[in-house]
Amino acid sequence: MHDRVWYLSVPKSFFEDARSAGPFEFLLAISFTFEYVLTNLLFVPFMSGAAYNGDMTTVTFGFSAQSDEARHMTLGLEIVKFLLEQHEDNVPIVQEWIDKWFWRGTRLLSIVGMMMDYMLPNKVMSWKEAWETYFEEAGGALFKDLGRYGIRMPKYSEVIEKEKEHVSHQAWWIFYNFGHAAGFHTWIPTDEEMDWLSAKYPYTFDKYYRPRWELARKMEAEGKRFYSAGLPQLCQVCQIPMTFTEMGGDPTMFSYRDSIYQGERYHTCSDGCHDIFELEPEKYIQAWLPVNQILQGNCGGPDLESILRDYYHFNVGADNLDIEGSPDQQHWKKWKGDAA
Amino acid sequence: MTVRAIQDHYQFEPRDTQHHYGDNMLLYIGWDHHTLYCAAHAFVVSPQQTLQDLIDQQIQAGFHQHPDFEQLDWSTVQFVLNHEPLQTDFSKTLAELGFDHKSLLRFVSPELKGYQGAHV
Repeated sequence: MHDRVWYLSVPKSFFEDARSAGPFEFLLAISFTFEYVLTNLLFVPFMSGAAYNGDMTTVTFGFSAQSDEARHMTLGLEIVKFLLEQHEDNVPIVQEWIDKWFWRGTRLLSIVGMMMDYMLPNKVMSWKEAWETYFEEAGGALFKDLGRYGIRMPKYSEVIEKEKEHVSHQAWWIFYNFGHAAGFHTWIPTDEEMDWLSAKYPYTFDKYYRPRWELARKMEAEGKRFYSAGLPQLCQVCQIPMTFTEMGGDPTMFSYRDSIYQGERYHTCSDGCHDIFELEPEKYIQAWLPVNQILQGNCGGPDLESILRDYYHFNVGADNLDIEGSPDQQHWKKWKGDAA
Repeated sequence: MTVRAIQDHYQFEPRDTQHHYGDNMLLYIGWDHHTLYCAAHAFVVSPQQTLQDLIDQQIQAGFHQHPDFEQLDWSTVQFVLNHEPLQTDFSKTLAELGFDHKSLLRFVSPELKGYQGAHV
């Protein structure tokens, strides 16, 4: 399943990119960028959310993972400093890796953002607040410390700062669109949740994202729960559907970038992914993009339901679709003591 | 810039070249300011079909769910092919209009701004 399903290809491509890099880039990617700065967002606020929602199994796993991460972090930072101290020529090389891996990491973590803002029934803090605490404050201090080695903040940090207002909403919208093709359930936020999102995202939620949910609700009320027709265009680098929007101008305009390499066109979702492609096109032209593979006929079919059932091994009708009426919803209600 | 590899000739076949799609090609289509659809759609199309065929077949199938769709006036719609304005001639084939493999076609409906005018 990990090799096949369209959204699992996102973390898969991230880690395969790191594993197929050299040992120093791997270390920078995983031990430094991912574990030192970014996974704090997964293992601290998200685990607090799990605890707050009574999911102690996830908390046990998360804290155990975090103690392992702590070792990688210590190692990662020391080796990065060592590399920088060895020779000044290493500085631009390390900087380029930092730029690449921070961007790839923020794209990957948009999934955690949507889990925090949309999937937790009881919310502890918004993704934006977590981002400010763990990336901007903690990560910012780290980069100040590295400034003496000639390292600056990751490229496109200013875009990342604007995206914190948007990415969780955009990511959950992808899964709501393709809730028929996901191995978990999706739903429309309740009125209370939408008010919470308005309060946490005063600059963006009511203006850009509440209208999406209102249309979704209207369609659902008309008996036409929205599941997007067709298949989405994917980014050649991060492999996420091309959903991210322009942060410099109109945030309702999808951000389309492309490159031509050896006569072939490749599409990317952002300046960050575009630059990563341009630096090492030989790597990313090999991407196994799930949508394109389906359209090539390599994933069974021809219809989507047989692909989900026979190629993804989903239990179609139980694993996918809206939470409403699902076995998961029944279990949840039973667990919470509500009438089924 | 290029990849720094431990082997010479770090070159591999791209996974998505046109020949993987028989006589057809991939085409990405997006409707600007209609974010009900979370991203542009990916379609397999024939270079020999006309722009009118594209509207009647793939675009109809891919975008009909949007409440604005039935109000679309195709005579006022602007097309943008690979970032360049496209001269609309519905009877010409995609090949004649300059579509190639993995082109991106965006269409803009000036009068329709999405649900509640909010670009949804």
